[in-house]
Amino acid sequence: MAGPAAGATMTPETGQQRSVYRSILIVGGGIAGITAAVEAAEAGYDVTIIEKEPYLGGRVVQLYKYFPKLCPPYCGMEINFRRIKDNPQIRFHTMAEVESISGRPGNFDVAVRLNPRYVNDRCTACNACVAVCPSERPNAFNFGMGKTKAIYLAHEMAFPMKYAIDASACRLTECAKCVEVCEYGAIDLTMQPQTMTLKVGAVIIATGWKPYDASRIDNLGFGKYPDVITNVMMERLAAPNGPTKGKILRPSNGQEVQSAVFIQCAGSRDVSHLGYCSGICCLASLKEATYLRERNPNARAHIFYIDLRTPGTYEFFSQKVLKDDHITVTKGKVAKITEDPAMGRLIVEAEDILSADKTRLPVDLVVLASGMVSNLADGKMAGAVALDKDHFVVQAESGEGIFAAGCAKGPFDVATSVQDATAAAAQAIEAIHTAGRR
Amino acid sequence: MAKKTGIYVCSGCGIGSSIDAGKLLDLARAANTGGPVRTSGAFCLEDARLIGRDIEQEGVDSVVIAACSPRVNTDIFGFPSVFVERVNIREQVAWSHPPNHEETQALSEDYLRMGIVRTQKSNPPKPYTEANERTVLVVGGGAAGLSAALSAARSGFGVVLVEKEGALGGYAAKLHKQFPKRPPYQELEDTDIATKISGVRSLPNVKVMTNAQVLEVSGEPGRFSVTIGENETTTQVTVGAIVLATGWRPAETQKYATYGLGKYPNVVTSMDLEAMAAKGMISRPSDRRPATRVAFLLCDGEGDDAHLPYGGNVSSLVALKQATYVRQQSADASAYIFYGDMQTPGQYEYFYKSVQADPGILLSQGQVRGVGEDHEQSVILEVSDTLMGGDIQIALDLLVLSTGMVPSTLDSEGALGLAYLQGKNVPTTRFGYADSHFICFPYETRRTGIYSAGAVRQAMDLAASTQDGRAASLKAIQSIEKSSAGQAVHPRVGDLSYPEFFMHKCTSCGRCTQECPFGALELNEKKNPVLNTNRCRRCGICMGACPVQIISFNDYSVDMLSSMIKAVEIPEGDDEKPRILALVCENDAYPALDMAGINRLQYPASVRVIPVRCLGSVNSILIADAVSRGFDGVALLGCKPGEDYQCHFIRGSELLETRMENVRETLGRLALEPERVKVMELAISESDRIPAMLEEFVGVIRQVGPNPMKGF
Amino acid sequence: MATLIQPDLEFKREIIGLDAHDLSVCYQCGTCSAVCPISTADNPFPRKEMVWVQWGLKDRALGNSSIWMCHQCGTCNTYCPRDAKPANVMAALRDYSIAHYAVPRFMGRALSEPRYLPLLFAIPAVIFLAILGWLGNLTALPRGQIVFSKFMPILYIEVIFMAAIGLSMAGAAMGGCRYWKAMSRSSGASSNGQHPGRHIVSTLLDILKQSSSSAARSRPGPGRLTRATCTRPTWQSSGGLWAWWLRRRPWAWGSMRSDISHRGRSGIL
Repeated sequence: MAGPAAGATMTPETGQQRSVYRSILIVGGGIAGITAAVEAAEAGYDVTIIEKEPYLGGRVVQLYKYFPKLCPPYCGMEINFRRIKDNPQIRFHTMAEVESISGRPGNFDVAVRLNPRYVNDRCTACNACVAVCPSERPNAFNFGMGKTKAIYLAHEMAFPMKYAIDASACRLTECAKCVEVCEYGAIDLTMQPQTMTLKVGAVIIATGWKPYDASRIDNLGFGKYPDVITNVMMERLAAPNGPTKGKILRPSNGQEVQSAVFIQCAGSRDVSHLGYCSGICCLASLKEATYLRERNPNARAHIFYIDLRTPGTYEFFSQKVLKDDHITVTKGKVAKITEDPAMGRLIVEAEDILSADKTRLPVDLVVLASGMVSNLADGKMAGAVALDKDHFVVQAESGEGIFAAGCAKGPFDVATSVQDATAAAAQAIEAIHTAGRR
Repeated sequence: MAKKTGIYVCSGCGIGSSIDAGKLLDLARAANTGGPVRTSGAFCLEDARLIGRDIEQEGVDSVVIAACSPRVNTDIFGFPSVFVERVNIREQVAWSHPPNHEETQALSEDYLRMGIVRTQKSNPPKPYTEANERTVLVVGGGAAGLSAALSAARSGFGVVLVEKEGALGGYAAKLHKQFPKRPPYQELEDTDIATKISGVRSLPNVKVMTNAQVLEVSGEPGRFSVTIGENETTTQVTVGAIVLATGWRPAETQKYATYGLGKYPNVVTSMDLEAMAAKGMISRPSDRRPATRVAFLLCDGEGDDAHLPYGGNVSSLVALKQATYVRQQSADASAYIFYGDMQTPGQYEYFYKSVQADPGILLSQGQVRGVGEDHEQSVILEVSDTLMGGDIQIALDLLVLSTGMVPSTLDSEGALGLAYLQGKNVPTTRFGYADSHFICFPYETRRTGIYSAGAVRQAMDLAASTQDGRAASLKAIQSIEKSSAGQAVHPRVGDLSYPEFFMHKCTSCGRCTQECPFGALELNEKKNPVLNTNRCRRCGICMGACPVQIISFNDYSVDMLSSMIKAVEIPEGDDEKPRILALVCENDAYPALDMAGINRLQYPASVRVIPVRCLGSVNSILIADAVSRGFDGVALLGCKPGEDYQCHFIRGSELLETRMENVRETLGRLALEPERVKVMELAISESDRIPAMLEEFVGVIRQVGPNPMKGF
Repeated sequence: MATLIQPDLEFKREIIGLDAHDLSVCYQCGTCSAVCPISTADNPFPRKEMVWVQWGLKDRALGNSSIWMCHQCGTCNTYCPRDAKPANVMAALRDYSIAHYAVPRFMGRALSEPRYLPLLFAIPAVIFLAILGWLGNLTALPRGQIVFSKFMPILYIEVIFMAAIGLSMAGAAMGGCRYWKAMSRSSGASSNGQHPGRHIVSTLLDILKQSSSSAARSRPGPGRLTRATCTRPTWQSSGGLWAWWLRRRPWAWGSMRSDISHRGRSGIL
């Protein structure tokens, strides 16, 4: 899927000692990638965003609200999407992945693979295809909660607003019911992967993060008890466009949640899982506690933590949330979860450290504050940038021409990712300008 | 000059099966706009060329496209050089109202009429391109300022760097070491401030002024006129944009009196300890003996008297770093750290662990109960709620307090001396930070063209300040690029329009100058408003403020909005067909309405939606107009005001509240019920609430009864 | 009233030296206490033992009965997010404790370190050889029929053994007294604040009940043994020492190993 003005070539800047491309490739179309793109483009540089999903927006569009303002991510995204739509210097490719990067600052060759979407630019998002599609797939946007048809629009603010087909769930040409019903000739089930080469002056890696696989934490019952969910799933449960239309219900029986426990550091700060602190989870749990309270005035939320990490002005957010006497916190890590089959509730156990007692708490829902894992864990990009042992990009000094932004560098919150991405755009521009003068 | 407007009605995506497109075409032809009227099963595909051909061959200078939402297919329908009006009859008509219903049809016809009127009332903006100075002023020569200067200069811009001290480097230059930034994130590192200083000194396009202070700033982005005082002389420079990097200072000593600071000689601050470490001797100030029992207090506990919002980002890391200093000085020394919550996010957790691994560094949570002194002037610290269980006392050679980082904006030296009607300082958030309190859009201050970086914006460490300096310099560069092209910056990036004042009718009330969130308007000697165009963010709040409606944009004006309102046909004598006007925020409520359509949610077809740049741009006269035109009700849909405002023009939703007082007054004068006008908070993600919200309002209006002004 | 603490870093180093190298990195999350199948609701361990050792609070760490309740099952080590090995710290505290309270002290130290093992073996050998030498049996064996008492008279053996038993019982009693006193001293400071004596009777009853329970012996799995200990607060005091000894029996080890292999999933509670 190509964005506006796709296919235009980039012109080397001439008139200086060395020709360089005044263009920047941005790998990843989440909040960091989008920010880097619009910030660089608005300073006069051409940018191309490469995104592996069928839509831009990354993880943040899956969030119900941001802390500390409890505002919807769609709001800032709407402005950013408009900045992309209105700016001919920004192009993007969804369903695309970088295969290789070579060259030097000012002159990089990037091979990009475009995976088949099976839906072309002619799609008007009229939704006729969905009605006839016989196949279903787990709703990946909702972290597997609920299903979509094999042809789907990930969410109602998906940008570009074009449908996509999940080939793993679709019988493609063997079925082709959607092709018959599409009035606009937008579906092409024979689409093949393509490759293309981009010539750019600098590269920004903004590949982001994924949630840690909570089923690897064998004492916290994820995957064993349906009422143990992760924090990202909680975002979807609370979102009006989520699997429960914003109602916070127990996955086991669909009943309204009356009490929830949030378990901090589920995977983070743990040598057996993630050695680092994921940074955002304490604030996320405080935020998610407000979701529960907003829905159910009787509900109770209980947060078990090691250190309540609410640095700087986020402290005020924590104070505000904890004014609610139905939201309580306990220092102590939950290390055991069992089920009381008689009550049908989960029992969490932790040491309440400040009173040196062991607590057993029966609850309806357990939310694991599972951490953030670098998307570079698959080893891609290892040749282009230096990674630490957690596969986060090590902050490079200016001049190498390849920079990282956002959660490719570490577990950042949205605000930090945006700041970092703006800085990365500045570095990329510096690198191109400097390469041109050499 | 009369316009030649082409009108294009699309029947695809279910539009044709929901409404009678033929009737819309008749209506379009009757409007007699001088251009062709066409229809297609999908204008976004091949037939887009028909529109292009009309523009090229028929001399069409404006187009009305009645099809999908203006939020999609922007590239396809983005015909440069002509005015494009998108009439949303897909998401907000066909997809959200019952098909082939009289009211749905009426809705689509009203929207088309409104779109045609809007096109007729709009003129292409003439960009203002008179300011184009390509130099960045960086105020503050610490880590953030140096980084901003380097980045702007290396990107090809001139830089003037102003530092109030005699030397560059700020607090960064006073640090002995910094906590680790590189894997394995365990060893302390030297600061790179010296490299930054020499970098700045070596660049020919950076002019460094030390012992200097910005005395006054006037003008606008692209041409700020700056007076700089340097060694008793003053210099005048013109710059295009400004990076404010004036940093921080430690919080006042008095704030820490309860911890014995200022009372006991061996109670010191973290900056004092940093200085000792840099000199190579950590000792007891009372007797100069080496300190071997040193405790660090993170004064970050809740309910702590000295608790400040400014420190928490870094104080834990500073304590861990300084504990290492103590241990490096002597193998016999012990360092104790008492924290509320250890704040070592991200990879700093590895640093925390590596510091802990030293058996001579002992850590515990705890609340300070008291600080005293023994006969040898050793500090006796009493801590409760420790992890050891119960309260403890411990004797110390040195007690180190992590003092808060106060942003310089709270002091006079943080002021830029803005020669702005709205004040000399950059407006700050309630924490004192020069910031607009946006998650998605940092660095923006409420003074266009001035971007903040470093600890003046938020307590942060060196690495973050360095990143911040780079980022703010990019924002400054953008501001220069945009203002020289006559374009707005965030959030209406690229907008070429700007407000114009019909001065003959100005009453010099000055309200526009007060309400502008960005201080774009000044008063001249005749007390008339004067616009600094490049300071303007094009929100239209001034337009909403003006009691005599003399402010308008070429493509957005009270006249235009009120003509659109007049274009709506008000059925008379039919109680079943109330008409509600909804003025909605274009960034949040309007997309929410679109998404309601995408989800095929149905809401009352009696509502006529007009997107506005900001609810703050809604003039109360406009609402009164709508009511006197016969609208039964007016709904204003926008985002959350207050402390956690979402308004991207900061004050829009808040100002609307004050406007509503006028509106209620007007309604009273007309003997109409106040319930007819309602402000509704609607976030962009709340499309699911729309049906119930609007139905409820329609219900209220039905109860109140039809507007008696109908037909007047 | 707050007590003035004086961190004893030498003690901390000694514990570290007893194969508890990683104790400093404990960040006090309490995972260990939560996963521990033995620790009870009102006396969780080993989290507090960790911080006491970190801060060199020797009196609190040693005068604390929880260390004797530890099975050394290793669950805390498995789940410790910092890999601080709380079980090793508990073991080190026990070793240190034995050495610390033993009478005579040198015996305690000798018994706690493998390097003294040859010396300990050498003591009876030397006594034996000395007697043989004094009897002259070292150079020439007595003639005639081979009778052991001719080689080493029974009386000698009995005297030596009686003396040894007497001494060791006296040592045990004195060591026990020392420990008892230390525990009484610190019970005020310990978390439950109860005097150890209060639980001795109920504890003994409990031990008897358990010893007679064939179920506890024969069951594979993590066992009722731990359930009993978890639900009964009576284990927490001096009786824990005996309980600890009892659980060192091989059948108990078997059940603990399966505990580890189940990694706490087996529904202990």
